[in-house]
Amino acid sequence: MSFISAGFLITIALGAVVYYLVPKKYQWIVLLVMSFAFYATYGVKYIGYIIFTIISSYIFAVKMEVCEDRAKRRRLLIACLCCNFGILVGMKYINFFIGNINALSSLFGGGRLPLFNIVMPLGISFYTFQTMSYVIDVYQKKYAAQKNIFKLALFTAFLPQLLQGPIGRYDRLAPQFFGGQEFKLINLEFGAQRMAWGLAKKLVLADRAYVAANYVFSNLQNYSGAYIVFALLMFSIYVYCDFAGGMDLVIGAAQIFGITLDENFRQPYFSKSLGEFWRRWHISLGAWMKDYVFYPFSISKKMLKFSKFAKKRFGKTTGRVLPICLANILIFFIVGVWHGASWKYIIYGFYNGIIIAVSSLLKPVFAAAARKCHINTSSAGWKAVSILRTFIIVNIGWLFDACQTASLAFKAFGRIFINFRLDVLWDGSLLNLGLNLRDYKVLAVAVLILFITSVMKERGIKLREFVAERPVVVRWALYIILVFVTAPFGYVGSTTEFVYAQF
Amino acid sequence: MKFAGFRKGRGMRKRRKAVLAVLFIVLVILLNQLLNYMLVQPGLGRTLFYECRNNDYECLILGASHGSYGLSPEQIGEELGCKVMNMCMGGEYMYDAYYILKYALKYKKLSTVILDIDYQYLVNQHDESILFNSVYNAYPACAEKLGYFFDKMIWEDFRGTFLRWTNYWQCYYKIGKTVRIKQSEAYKNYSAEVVSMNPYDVYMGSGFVSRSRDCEKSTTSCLDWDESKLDEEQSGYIKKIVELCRDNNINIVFTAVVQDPDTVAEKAEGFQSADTYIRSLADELGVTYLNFNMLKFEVFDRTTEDFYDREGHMYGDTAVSFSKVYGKAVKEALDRNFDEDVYFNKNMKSLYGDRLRSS
Repeated sequence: MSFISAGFLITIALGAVVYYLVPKKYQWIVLLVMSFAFYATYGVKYIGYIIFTIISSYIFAVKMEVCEDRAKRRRLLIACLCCNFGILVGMKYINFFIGNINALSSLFGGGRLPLFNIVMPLGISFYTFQTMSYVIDVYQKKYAAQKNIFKLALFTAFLPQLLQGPIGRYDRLAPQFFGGQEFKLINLEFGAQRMAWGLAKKLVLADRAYVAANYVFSNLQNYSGAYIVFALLMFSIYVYCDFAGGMDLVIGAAQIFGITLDENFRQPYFSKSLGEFWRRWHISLGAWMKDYVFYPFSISKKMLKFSKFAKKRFGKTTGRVLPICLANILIFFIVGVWHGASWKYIIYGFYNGIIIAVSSLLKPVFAAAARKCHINTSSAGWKAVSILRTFIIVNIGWLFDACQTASLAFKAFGRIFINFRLDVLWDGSLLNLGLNLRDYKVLAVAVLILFITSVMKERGIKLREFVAERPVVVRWALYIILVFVTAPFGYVGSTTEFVYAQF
Repeated sequence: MKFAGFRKGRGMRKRRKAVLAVLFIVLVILLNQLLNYMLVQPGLGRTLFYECRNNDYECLILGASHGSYGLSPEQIGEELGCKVMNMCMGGEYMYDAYYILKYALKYKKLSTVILDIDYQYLVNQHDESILFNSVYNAYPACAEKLGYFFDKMIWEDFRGTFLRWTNYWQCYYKIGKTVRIKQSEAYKNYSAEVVSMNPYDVYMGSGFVSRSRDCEKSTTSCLDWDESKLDEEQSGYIKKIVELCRDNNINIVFTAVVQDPDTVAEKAEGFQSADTYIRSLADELGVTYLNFNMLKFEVFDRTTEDFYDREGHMYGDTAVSFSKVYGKAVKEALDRNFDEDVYFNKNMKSLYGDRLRSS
């Protein structure tokens, strides 16, 4: 059942009614039943995988807690991680490995291994990462293990966030799940408001922009120059509005139940560097990587040794930065792999990792150059240039996401510089990309509204609070516009699932 | 006292907020209903359901647009010796057909159900706008509709489910006319006059739409049969329809209305595969399947000129003459004296051989 289906909205509405009617100590049971019932609509066969994750995490976490022997605790942790990441890697990557082995084998005239017919359980990447963060935290004695397996099950499978995150943390969610929530009208109002906003992003912007982007990238041989730049901009709108819209929907739905989830986006296209972009885009994944990969890797014995060596060999500054660069490359390699079993994602990961690493290493050089050229790096103009530069770098990266394969992504990049004619942007050629004039008008107005609201947020203006303080009539008018305008201006013609729900 | 007063004040504020929330929801519902009233265009489905409820008939035909334009209940009834109601509608999937049957059974004692299966509906989940749920929208409010909602609509895009008017919002310039129509006696009497149909279409009653030969031929062709796109849910509902008939001692026959011979010849392989699939399903269920695309040309001669599009929708006069053959064949099948060799060729390629060679 999709997040834009009537069933999802009914589930949330009915769930909320029951949730606030039962005594507080049983509220979490309502959430648990609702979550599993919804997940089962995708196919009962998928439930086995998530149950395995819950049971294994429960057993290993409880065992780790009672175990005093550090080495044994470590073995338990490794066993748990291997089991769960093993399933994730197995499900997602086994055919990728086999495909590559077959490709290698065919070079030497060898035979072919058969591919597995695997149907990926929805949300496996999200719930695996979320649950493993709990197991690692218990190992690190950050908090006690959950003794009630059903409560752990809720943490793993909480409906709104199950399919596309944000990747939550146990210590922030558990008190909200199990402490009981009082009915507050503001939660209902803000939750519904956020859901409507998310639906608008998805239906009005993402689904519409996807059409033009997909049209070009699926027929790359017919397009070049400005068409590809335009399609890339459309893809950029699509991927942001689809994921961020999905997040609004998830966070809004959770808020209706009084649960505050972590934010996953903070106006990422206003970033002044690629590193900043990744601190504003899919924040929960970035934070997970930082806490469970970056720090453990950076402070590992080998890295500390390497750091000492690097300081001696390359000087204090470079020696300090170099291990961080390596950790960044490792993180972005994992981020790439997390996105999918394909070379294009691996290259995408390295593309980001290497740019961040190189810019960290060259930071002193850039600073010196700016001083020499008398550039005021804190001026508004320089900030705008930095934002534009980052936006271009990010968009080049999106090519790997937009194209079917890595080689097509390189080809698309090359074709940007062929037959570049700006007049295609206004001579009516864009009307042949699956969208009509009305679609472009709607898109333009919606992008403008999104831009203005993003600028307001960036400047610290709390839009929702601002709206909440208006008189009832104004508020109601705004909400009704949000509900009744999204529907007719939403794109109709294709049913595109939320892209991140497929991870 | 101050404390109590404070609590009382807080309680009142809470109550006021709760009342406001309920008021807001009511306002949204009312606005939605108003928009539905002003924008949603009256369709033929409403008339069909009215006739389904009130007409006198023993045989019910279920199916999609091929049946709607191709099957005349009058001619079929003459052959069967009973009154017939044609509930075929464009966009009628198997789950829609199942709920139409359930609705008809509420009001009528049926002896025969004919399920006309257009294979396109087995391999294509949505052939029109994803928000356009014509059969469900025309389905009258009743207990069955609740089951229908939870079976089908709950999976659909919320816009098509809750905000029906979104599919019609571009009819805003017709609001005055739409409201006038909805207030007219003809509308209240479920007349087909108020339905904006193709100017070349005439509603003949009991579900049959006749299209005049003056209508320009459309180039729409039918979808290819693609077994990988088979929607198991549809065959599930075919089984449910058969079960429902068996539970009510109703005879059931599967058919496929004849289509444009040039299209069938062009896509003969796909038509043959679809036939194999539906035939095996019919055999499994113990139901007779009459695929009229196998119909010998000497039994019913037809050319591409008898159809107003390449998909296989018939002109009215073709439909009338075809319905006689159709009714006769169904009658013989029901009487268990149907001789397949008289009507059908076993193989598409041999039947459409000449056309295949010329194409």
